[in-house]
Amino acid sequence: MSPEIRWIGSYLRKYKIMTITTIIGSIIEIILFSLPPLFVAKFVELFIVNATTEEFILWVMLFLLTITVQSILFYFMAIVNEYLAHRVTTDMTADLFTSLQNQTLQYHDNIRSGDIMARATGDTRILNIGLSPALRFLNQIVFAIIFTIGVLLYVNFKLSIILLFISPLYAYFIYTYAKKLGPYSDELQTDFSKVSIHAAESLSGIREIKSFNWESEDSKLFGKLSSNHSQSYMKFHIASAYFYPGLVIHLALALTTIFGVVLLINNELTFPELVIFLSMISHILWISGGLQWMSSILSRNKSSARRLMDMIFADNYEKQGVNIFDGKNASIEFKDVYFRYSETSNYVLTSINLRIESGETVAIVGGPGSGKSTLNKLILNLYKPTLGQVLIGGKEIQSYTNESIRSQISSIEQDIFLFSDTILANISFGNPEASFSEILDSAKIANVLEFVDKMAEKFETRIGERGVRLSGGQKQRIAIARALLLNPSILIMDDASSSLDAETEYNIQKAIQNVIKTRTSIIITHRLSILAEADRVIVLEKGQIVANGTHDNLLRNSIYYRRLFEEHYHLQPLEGGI
Amino acid sequence: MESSKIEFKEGELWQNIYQLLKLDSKRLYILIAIMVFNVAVSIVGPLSFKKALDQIEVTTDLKPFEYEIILYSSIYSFTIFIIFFIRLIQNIMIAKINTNLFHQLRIQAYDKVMQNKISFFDNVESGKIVSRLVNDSNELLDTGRRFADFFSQIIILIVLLGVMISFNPILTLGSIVIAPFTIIILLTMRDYQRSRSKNWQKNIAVVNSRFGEIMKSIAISKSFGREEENANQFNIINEQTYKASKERGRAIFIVGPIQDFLKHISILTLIIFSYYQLKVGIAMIYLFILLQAYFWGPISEISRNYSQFQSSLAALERILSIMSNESNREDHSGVVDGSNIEGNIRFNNVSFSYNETTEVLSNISFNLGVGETLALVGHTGAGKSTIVSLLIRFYDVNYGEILIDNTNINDFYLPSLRSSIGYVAQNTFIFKGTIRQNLKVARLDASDEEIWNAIDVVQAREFIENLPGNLNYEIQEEGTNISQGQRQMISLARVILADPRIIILDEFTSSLDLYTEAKIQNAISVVLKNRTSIVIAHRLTTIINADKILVLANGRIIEEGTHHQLITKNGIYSDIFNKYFEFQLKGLTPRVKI
Repeated sequence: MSPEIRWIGSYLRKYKIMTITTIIGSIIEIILFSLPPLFVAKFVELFIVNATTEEFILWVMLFLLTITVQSILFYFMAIVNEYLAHRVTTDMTADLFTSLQNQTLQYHDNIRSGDIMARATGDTRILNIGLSPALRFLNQIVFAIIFTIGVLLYVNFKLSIILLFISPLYAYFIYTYAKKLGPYSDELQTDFSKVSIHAAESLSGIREIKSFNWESEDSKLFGKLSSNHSQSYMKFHIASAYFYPGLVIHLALALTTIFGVVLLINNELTFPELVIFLSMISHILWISGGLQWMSSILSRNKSSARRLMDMIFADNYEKQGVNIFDGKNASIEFKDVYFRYSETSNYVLTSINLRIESGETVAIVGGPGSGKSTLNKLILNLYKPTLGQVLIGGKEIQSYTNESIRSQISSIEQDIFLFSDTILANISFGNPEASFSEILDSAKIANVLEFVDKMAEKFETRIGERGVRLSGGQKQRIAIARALLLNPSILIMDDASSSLDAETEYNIQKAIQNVIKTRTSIIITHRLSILAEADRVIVLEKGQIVANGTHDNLLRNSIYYRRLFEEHYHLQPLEGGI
Repeated sequence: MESSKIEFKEGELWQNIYQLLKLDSKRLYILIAIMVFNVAVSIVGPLSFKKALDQIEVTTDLKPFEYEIILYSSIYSFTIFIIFFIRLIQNIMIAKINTNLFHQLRIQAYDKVMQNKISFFDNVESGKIVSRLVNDSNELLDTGRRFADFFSQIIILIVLLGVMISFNPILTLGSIVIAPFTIIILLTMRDYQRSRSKNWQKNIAVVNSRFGEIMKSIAISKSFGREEENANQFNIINEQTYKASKERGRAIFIVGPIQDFLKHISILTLIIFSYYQLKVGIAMIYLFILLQAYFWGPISEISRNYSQFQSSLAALERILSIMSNESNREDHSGVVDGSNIEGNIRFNNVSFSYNETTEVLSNISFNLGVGETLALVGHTGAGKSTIVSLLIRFYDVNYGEILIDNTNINDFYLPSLRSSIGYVAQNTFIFKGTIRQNLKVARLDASDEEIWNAIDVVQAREFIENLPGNLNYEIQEEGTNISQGQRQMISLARVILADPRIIILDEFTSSLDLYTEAKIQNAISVVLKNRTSIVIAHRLTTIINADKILVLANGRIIEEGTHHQLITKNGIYSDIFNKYFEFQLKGLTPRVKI
């Protein structure tokens, strides 16, 4: 059994009653299916024997009863099957969600949101069809095959020879045919993802697209991907149209028919036997058509299941320890840390050795791409150092549970992402149990209250997908409030005030002073005011620490640090030089 | 504002499908012909075999008829064989028609959606749009077959009906008397089926959107330890979708069993009619029992298709409603060519609000001469970014007018206007692709040399040369594998490459260190020299050199003038400025003259 089928089976096992009902029900269904023709035969017989009206009415009643029961049962079976299919795929979507959340950021860096969406809703849809109605049909086909072969052997062994001889060949052909479809269905799903990826990304960049008049170019690109997808759709269906196993079985049936007539002429077969045989043949044709459909559905299901499994079972779970970080000793130490995002990229951090004491405020400066933000991501254990160690409170960061690390370390990120939800929900994001007065306090410190009060719905105001209708500074303030609400023992601010005007920043800064004093703080900034007040400033250059000291000290001694200000300010002459 | 509120009548939906299919009408007609032929062959086969059987029935010694019997049965065998090939051609046709149909629909929809106003994208989450464009169009994949099926089945029905009536009108009536009920059932069920399908697809769009949003921002969820809460919230909408899918299933699958029931009832009516028509003979009755089965085949087929097709129609309706809402469309009615403007900008009493409740800008008036630089100053949320979004027509003013070279910006042909304005946004967006591709968005025909020149202006040469493959370096989705400062540099280079008359810089150096900023500032002042520019910045150096400064508060201009005028005025500007010094300089003396 292939791993895909085993995987789907593991879900079906969770819903045993529904699964068993579907399987047994579909077999009952196919048996019931043969009842109405029998009734018809009975009626004809009644006509021939000139039966009484009473007898006739009795059979009509019986027929009515049968078809009523049958219809209700059919409906019930279809519904159970449909419920089962959606139950299973709903679970799969949830599992995909949970699993992706637990994967490392490194893994996430390499997958794209459009692709995730395509798998979460597109591939599960295909599995849906594979489970309902295909699961029911599969049972019926298997049952019908066994039934048909049994009848044929019973009626006339000689006449069955051609079919028996051809059966293994047919089975083998079906197998190779389904296998041949495999690559086509893989391609089909991959191309589908590409369409989704493009649409998702273009929508995120809609402003840039419009301001550069890129719409038609972008549509052209989309059209190309859409065309690729539809081409592979066509290729798949044309490949599945060439159902060569069907040719074999059709040939066998045609030969059997002629053979049957010859046997009849030679009195080796009776007429009624031939009639049964012929009705079985049309049955086999029906099964053959069903098998063609089934193999194309199953082939697509296999690809889709594979795609979901690839993500669900990606072995990139975040590794974490068992220790609880209580935040009492909030010191941070980097021991000879090297880091790169992937094996093919350059080192972003090299040979970082740094100790930050509990309660210290450290500012980090450096040019674009010097590794400032990366340093912070390592402190949050979002990435693992490629070489070396990061210690928090004297212990290696990986020895703690992620939950305790992240509830004690709070960051205000550079690229602020707010959810399409209310302002309240966005602030309480990290601490959903926070009371309203706690939220109000952190909103006050972050100067959120100032603009929220002017809004009609206050904290209940909804913001667009990326908080589009808030200004950059307003978003930053919400992010600050969000971080403060956690009451963390280590606070990281990555360029948290870049979009703030001087006065707002001044207000926040003053309020935040008290917050910073009581905890370890790391601030990435280029603001002189913050640099001057920090206990220590670290200068990063191309992933290395090139200067480390107080603002005044560095201003006097470090050429790297002075370079930042030279263009803007008159500086005292260089003293020692680091 | 949500665009899905437009409703379509079923007739309109069919018309749209027909329009799409017409693009491929030749194949469609061929397909219908093949389908009819297919049915004809499947009827001829058994009939010719029956001919053989007729012989068998009357005699016991078959030897004399050997030749004839074998001939007829061979014809039958041959038709079995033929059916395989007909089905093959039929399936290929269907694949081609379907492919064309959904591809056309999808690119048309995408094209239209991309022409929508920015406010549309503010209000509809992108995951939901993706779901409509991508998932919903998938629901239409079987349309071609269903449509062709529908027509071929109707042709077959008509032919069969003629044959039946020619045999015996009364028994014909007995066979079809129930048929109208199926139509009634279909028509009463369809709206319910479609609304349940639509509801289900809407739920899927929500799942899609939420899923995408959470995963896109996974770093934040991780750093706040939000995974469990996220999963709980997601489960709620996921389970709601399950509920919606159950409702849809109940609605869609009811038709099949009812159809079956009616089909069997119609056997019964035929039997009852026959009971009073016994004089026509058992053979005729038996013939009608066979014909009745042939007659109901297409009817079941049509009704099953029709009810499952409601799901496709629901998807189509969702796609059409997102693409045909003209009120969301950007106004392209302007005809004046804006590609050769001089660059004089004038705002006349401009007022604007994103929604009706709060006015973001009120009564903004200013004039900016050709080649001048305007600095916008004010607290966050004062309306600075909104002013520039109006200029580039991401939004249209509610009151007042904006003129460029004395022409209302609404009168310019929109793409030509935008090609004259370079805009570096606060949140820079970098496309997935190489650095070269990202820059070429500004000018498709730019040579590498021109690209490097633009890169030099923004001082990005060093960092790009250090990347593996430099211009060919692949940037990941949303630029996550380069730093934010580097993203700003690239988006700035992009605008430099576009070489526009008007340049808007919204906080374009906020993520850069002072050293890099100064380097860029120097280079960019050359670029800005003979262009009209609007800069939004909180940094002193950018503001001081501007030809004009507007101080904004709560969407109003509260002060305006040059730096010196404003400083001497001792108003809000000088207040902000002094605070900046008190706070920002920390004992250092700035190089700029104040």
